Amino acid sequence: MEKQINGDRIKLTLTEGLTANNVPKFNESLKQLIKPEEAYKALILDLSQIDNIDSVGVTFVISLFKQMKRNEKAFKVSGASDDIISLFKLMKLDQFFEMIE
Amino acid sequence: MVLYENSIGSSFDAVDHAVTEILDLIRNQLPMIDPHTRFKINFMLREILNNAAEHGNHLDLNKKVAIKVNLVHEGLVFEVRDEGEGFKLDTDFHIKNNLRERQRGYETLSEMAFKIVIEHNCVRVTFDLNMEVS
Repeated sequence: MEKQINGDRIKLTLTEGLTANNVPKFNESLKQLIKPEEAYKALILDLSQIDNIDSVGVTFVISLFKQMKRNEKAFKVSGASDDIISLFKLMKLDQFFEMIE
Repeated sequence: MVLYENSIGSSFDAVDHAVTEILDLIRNQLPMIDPHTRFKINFMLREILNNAAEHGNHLDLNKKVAIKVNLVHEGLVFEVRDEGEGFKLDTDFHIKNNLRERQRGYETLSEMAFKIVIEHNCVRVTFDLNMEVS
């Protein structure tokens, strides 16, 4: 997971599949990369480098969205493949967060 | 014809490895299956294998998950067997909470039009090669 700061936005890029075997590492990286005191307005989760996803990975995205909502931050997913966008739409997640290019 | 047969340990890393192997086989031996369908098969396999490893075998590394992929006249049949006590598929998907964090995998597979049959501790998923899954 890589972090980029652009103004008041944080972009997190996943570099390994959004799958059950990687999610514990992502949760650990999140704690290291975003400290509670950090000031930002929006979190962008960049999925442009991943092809593999499972429902544990989807759960990771949902919990990140909920966490941002609780903290009154914007949350968007960027760079997802057409297949991942279709999956999120099938799961009706597009009604909760925006997916951008 | 058996396309793939293996027995793996009950870990998410073992699942990831097995899914990668199966998808490589499908890509090489069944080129008519397009990348979008392979994506759905990838998601489906991870769902049933993760479930077997986590809920069937409780991630006990001494327990195995058996996988068989058969190429039959109608299409591909994926069979996954764990060492657990088995479960029943709750097909009552009417309680809609799209932000719930668990137990949505089989519902999604059903919506992708995979045919799922569960017998005790064995899950059998059929993919009809003549009918594109939605």
